[in-house]
Amino acid sequence: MKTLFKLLSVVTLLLLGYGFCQAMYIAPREATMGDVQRIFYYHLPSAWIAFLLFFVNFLASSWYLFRRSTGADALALASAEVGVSFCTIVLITGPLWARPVWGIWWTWDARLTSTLVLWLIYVSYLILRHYATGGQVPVLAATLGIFGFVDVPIVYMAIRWFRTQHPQPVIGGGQGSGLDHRMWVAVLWNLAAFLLLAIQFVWIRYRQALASHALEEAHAQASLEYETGDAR
Amino acid sequence: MNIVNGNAYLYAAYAVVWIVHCTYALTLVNRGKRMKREMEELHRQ
Repeated sequence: MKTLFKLLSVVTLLLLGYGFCQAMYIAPREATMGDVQRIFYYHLPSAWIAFLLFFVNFLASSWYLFRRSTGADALALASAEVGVSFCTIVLITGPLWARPVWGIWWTWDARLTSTLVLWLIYVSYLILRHYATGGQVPVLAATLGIFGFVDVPIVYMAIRWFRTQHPQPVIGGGQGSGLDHRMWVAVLWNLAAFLLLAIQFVWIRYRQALASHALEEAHAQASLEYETGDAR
Repeated sequence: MNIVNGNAYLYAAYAVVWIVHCTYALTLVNRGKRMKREMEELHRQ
């Protein structure tokens, strides 16, 4: 397994490097926005990966509520944590792109606001997991994960349902929308690279969450044995 | 055509992406080390 992981890490690094070259040097310069549009090649894949990870969190949380599986709980935690890091990138790269193009860092339109709400929901999920104590924490977190996911389709559809400052969809946006195929290639390379990176982060965090659970049980067992020994 | 000059924003955005990912990777490594230490302590006990 370790060899496979190392191999995957090398492939990821190569893909990230090639994705960077695609985004910075190979993809054509956009006609009106110029080079700053290249933020798109990191912004869009990060958003899609964040959505995917929150979907994984939704599935794992649902599975945990039905089966009380420790593995599902660990996967829910791992996917939420990595999802938040990708969502953070979306929320930082977005304003950095908006400032030179729109002339403002931020506006409270439906897409931006719903994305911020999404980030806050999953940050609160992580705070709950980190600071709350007691046996019901995974159940409460799973419930938050399930209801929190409702915001993902709202974020996705916001630019279709509402008139927003955020551009209309370039993918699946109907007539007049679309990307130059060389831009598509850059998007897909970066999507593959960051997806592999996300999978590795989730895998490591999943293993750590399982180990942490085992460690807690071992501590509980040790203190029980200690107390029993004391009573004798 | 008037093209936006925003190279500083582009570099800042790319830098932010790598800072966030590297910070998260570092957090995972540190957490892994801490857990390994805890496990070793538990085994010693």
